[in-house]
Amino acid sequence: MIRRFETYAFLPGTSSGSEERLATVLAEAGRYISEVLYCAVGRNLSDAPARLVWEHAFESAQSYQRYMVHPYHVEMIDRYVLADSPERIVEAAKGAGLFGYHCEDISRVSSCPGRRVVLLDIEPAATADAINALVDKLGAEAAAGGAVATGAGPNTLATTWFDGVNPLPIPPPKWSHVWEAGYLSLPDAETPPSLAISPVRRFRELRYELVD
Amino acid sequence: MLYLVDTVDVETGDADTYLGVVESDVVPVMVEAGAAFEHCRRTSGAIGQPVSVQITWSFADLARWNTVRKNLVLDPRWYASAERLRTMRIGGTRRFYEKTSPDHR
Repeated sequence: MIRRFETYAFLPGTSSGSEERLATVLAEAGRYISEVLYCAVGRNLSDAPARLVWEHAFESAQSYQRYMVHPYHVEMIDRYVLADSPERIVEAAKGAGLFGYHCEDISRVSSCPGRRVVLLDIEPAATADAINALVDKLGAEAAAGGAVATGAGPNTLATTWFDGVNPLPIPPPKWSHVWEAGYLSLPDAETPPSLAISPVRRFRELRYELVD
Repeated sequence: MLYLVDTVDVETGDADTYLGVVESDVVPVMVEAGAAFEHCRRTSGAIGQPVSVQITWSFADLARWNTVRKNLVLDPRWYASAERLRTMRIGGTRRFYEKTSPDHR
């Protein structure tokens, strides 16, 4: 499964009606594109430079590739987000707003209405064992802090966003890994302490509740 | 064949500059990315109303557009020209058109 996120900051002067329109277009993508699973939208509450978060998933790289050429994607979503579109209302993030990871299943996290999504910059020299230990520790800390389920993985989508498989000829992503947790009640969510220690060099988090 | 049609409004005083950027910066990037330039048309602006500019690109299908879009996203020149044009735009739309079937002509 491919777990994918897009984040958006709006251009100055964008009306609340236009923001709402994009949120609706994104939230309804799953209705029009059968390949888009666990489709949901949230408004970020953290200080990260993103106002809107669109989370979703794909069963496989093949389903992701069908999404990429789906008319709803091309005509409805891109209309508001592509850099050169006359109807663009978001900042052109040059790819920084797209990230995600490959995983087995995301249904438990997705079923929760509150979300903490953390972009991690992990030391390049960190071993797989060290990263696995970090993920386990974050999971335990998140559970103690109210999380129902967590998910994590290398930020593979940052470089394979074209087909979900093949890395593009672009530099490595600024954020090497993605970690997320689902909460029943976001205000009760506590930040896992291990986010601030080695092998994490720095992190940026998004916090949001899914919009109905 | 698919046609990408951007229809934008610019102030009369910005129209020539806008079209100049399209010609010098946008067309080369789009063509290099794989789109075909169909035409660029404008209203005169002689009556003092904002000028409407319509630019049409074509490509075989959505799969081809997907590749064009990838090439654009990876090209820093695309962002630069898009930002220059955005500052001059006061409105506009983007739509994809296809030819009607012979029965509907």
